[in-house]
Amino acid sequence: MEMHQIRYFLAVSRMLNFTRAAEGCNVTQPALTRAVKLLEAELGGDLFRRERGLTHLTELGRRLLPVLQRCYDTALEVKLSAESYAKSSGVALQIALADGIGLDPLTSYLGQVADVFPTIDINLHRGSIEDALGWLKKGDVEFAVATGMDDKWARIERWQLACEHYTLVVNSAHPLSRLGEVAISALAGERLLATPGNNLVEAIVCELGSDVTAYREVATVPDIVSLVAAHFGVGVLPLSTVLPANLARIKVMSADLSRDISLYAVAGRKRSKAAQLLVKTLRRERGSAAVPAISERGGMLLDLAQ
Amino acid sequence: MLAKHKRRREVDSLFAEIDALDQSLADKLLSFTAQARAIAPDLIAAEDRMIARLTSTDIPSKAPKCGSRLPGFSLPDYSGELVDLQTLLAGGPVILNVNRGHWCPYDRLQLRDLARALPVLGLGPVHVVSVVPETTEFSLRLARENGLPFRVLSDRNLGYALTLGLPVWSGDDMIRAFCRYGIDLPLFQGDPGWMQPIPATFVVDQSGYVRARFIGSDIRERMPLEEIEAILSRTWLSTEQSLPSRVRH
Repeated sequence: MEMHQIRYFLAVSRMLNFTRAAEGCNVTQPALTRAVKLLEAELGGDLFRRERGLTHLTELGRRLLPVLQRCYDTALEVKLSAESYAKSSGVALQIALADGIGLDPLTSYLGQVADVFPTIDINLHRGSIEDALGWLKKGDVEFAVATGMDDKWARIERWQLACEHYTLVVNSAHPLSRLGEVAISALAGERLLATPGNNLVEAIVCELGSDVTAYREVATVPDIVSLVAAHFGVGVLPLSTVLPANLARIKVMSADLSRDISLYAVAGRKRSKAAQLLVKTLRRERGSAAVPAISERGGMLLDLAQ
Repeated sequence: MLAKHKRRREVDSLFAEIDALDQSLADKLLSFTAQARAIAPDLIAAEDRMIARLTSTDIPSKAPKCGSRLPGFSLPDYSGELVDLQTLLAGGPVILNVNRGHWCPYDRLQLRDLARALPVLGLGPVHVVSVVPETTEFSLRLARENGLPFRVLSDRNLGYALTLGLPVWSGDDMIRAFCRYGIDLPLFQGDPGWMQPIPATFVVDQSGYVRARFIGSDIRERMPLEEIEAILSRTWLSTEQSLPSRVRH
């Protein structure tokens, strides 16, 4: 068996859904299904019972899950320790976080870096997207987790970490809540609430022109939820936000309310060992070697998802 | 004496008999299987079924090919000292054997043959290592009981074997047969998974590239010594300089 086969098996057993597991592993669903089928042929039995909406592990799958997990984890360790990083000490990593962006999409990669450098110091610096860019330029940080930084400087390179989907959130008593889906023009006169630096809101505001009554930046997602519940405005919130019962989501017609959260670094700059490993880990996990390409917006784009 | 120990003893004495024969490794491997079929028919039959399952899944396509770089490792030998591929390569080419363990008669025939042949082959500074998925207690036994003059490394949970695409699951049928003969993989490996590697040999040049390989999807087969000798002499020893830093063709 091979590492990627086990990785796919582990992903399906976590999500119990072949389509979502394939998305998580950045492969097509037929490729993932084929790899799992080959693994099953080698093991001499099925790992999953495939039922629409109720895919679950077979007895064999349950037995082998911890075995293959250990094998996979140890193989990762072997690969990383073979790079002979293990002996270095006093390692630190400086990472900027743009306002409104969480560290979540990066944590599993940082965990793998910490496995190799157990004493690593990870320092987080929070600020606006301009602050983060300034720190990157000056070398105060090696990485920034942000969104939409590509076109701000030609020497930027980027690894996509996650795609965050947004919806509008209104109080159930609000007239818009009965519509389910609205045109951007229907938002004229509404007060929009979003976390700072949310370029999706900027796009809406731009289209509404002077029609928008107010656009308020609110520091945190829970504060926006409270304000919407208090009839204070319309929230722009990630799909992953858990809403209380008196709030409702509404879609915006013909507007793509999603944004890529990416890890940014300065192209061509010499990296620390920990930073090299983080980049290597990202490349390995995302399944293909990065090929630098100039994006339409002029920045250096490293697309790992293909 | 427990029945399983008696059965294991019979297989062991057959092993000693075959090992003493003046035959090529391939012939010894065949002779052992043929005679073991008479004294341990259930064990050999379970092996037959496992081999049929494994040879139908094209395992060699998953392992590093000739001309590709062998994945690195840093694994403990039986004294607990970490041995890494880079350091070994600094001293010359490497013959890396992936083995199933101290209990496997095919591995023991192969490694004993290799140990006997090393001084005669006059290979120069070639490092030979065996990697087994066993704890250091049992990797030490493999080295001691067979008088191996080279290092045997412990590959916990078959982690390194996985980077080579070699681990396989024994399967319930084989596990039952192992149990009847006291072959306690969970004890030997310190892991209850009943996994084992497909046995393999990689001849690696000093730059870390695979020059020859043998993948034993049929777990009873091993790379013939003559092949190891031929590839080494062709690659390194045919010139006046016994060990050029770059490989010549």
